[in-house]
Amino acid sequence: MQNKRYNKQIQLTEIGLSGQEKLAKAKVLVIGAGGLGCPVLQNLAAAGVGHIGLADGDIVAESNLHRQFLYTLEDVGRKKVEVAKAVVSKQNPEVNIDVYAKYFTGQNAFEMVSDYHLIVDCTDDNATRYLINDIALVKNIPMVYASIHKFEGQLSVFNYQNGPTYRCLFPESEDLKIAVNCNDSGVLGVLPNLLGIMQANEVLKIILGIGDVLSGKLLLYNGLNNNVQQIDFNLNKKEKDNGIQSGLTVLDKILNIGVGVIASNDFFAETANENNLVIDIRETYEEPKLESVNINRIPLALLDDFLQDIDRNQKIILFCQEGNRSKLTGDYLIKNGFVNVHHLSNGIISLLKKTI
Amino acid sequence: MAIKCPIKYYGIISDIVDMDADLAEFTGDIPTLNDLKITLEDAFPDMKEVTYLFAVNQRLVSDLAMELKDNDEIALLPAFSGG
Repeated sequence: MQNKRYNKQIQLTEIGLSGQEKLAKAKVLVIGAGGLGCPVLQNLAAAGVGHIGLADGDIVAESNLHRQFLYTLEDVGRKKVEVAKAVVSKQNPEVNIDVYAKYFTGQNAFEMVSDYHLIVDCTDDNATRYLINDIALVKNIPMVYASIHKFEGQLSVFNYQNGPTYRCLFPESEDLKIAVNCNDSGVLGVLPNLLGIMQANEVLKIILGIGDVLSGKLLLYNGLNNNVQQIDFNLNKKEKDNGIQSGLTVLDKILNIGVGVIASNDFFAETANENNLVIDIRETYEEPKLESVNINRIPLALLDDFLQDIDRNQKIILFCQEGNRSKLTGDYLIKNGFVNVHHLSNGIISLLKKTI
Repeated sequence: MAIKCPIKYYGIISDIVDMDADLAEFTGDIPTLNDLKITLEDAFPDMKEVTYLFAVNQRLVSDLAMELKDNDEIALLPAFSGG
């Protein structure tokens, strides 16, 4: 921070050098790199927020360009997060940007959120909003929300200092799924940009500890008539508990990924499948030997080395003599981040019985 | 005595009723939020398909039995989803 980049905001007595340092240390996850996400990302990076995560599985489409200014015609077809990172890093090379080229789901939610102090919801569907809300609740981090409908926008901050949550405002109901998203209803480019900038403003205030954070208030803006209204709402204990419960269920599902079981009938089809990584973990002296080009014979002592460069999502099939060692090894792999691990439940012995 | 309440419509509710503001007039018994809801949904049946909230005088109200007073400002708020 030796340069003059932030002089004009450091000059503000509410910010100063200490405020700028707070920004540099902050870690913010932006979920969605579309109409809201672009201005959020640009403004947070320009202000010097030190660590920004950006998650989106989408690619740039020509119909994005009228409102998502990080992208150009040349980027159509490229991953949004990669283009966004390149552009924003050029604007401010001091900011660390980690990108996740995937959608925010129950499976990756906790892993993605783990390092961040704050989440900005820039998604365009309400199911993901509930998920973000619930994960944020369990992790006890605030969530800055905005969404739009045609010429109107909504803005609020949830779970800020134990304040109300998204569910306190909009309890989950089946009917809510009827609400259309902007792809269906059309949108003027300025509207998401305006709301995204307002989200960035809330983020910066939270990090800096200045001003009044929009917690317990829903701000409504109408671009056609410039009406602005704030609606007050309270924490609803029952809805908050629902959110925590739902977030814990998501967490539980992740932690309960178990070792899958392969029955002896399916074993040869699974081992023949070249997409599967099949590992015979028996020691080299163990009989009978099972020869196949797709079977890797890796005794336990060598397994860690062998798996070092293997993708954690790779489907792995383990087998041993009776199924006990392969189960324990599978548990060990899952503890080490592998998520798609299976084993031959009764070992090679079960295959022999079949052939006799 | 008639009770008049200004109403503001937001998001998809505003699309359904095709206006962003209106004035509701009630005569007879003291009206509740639920009376207003029934009147509106009779006039605009598509509203029944949407989940929305009521705010009265800029505060969210979950109890639809709330009685309305003259000049209470009412807002009908659906969740937005675009981004």
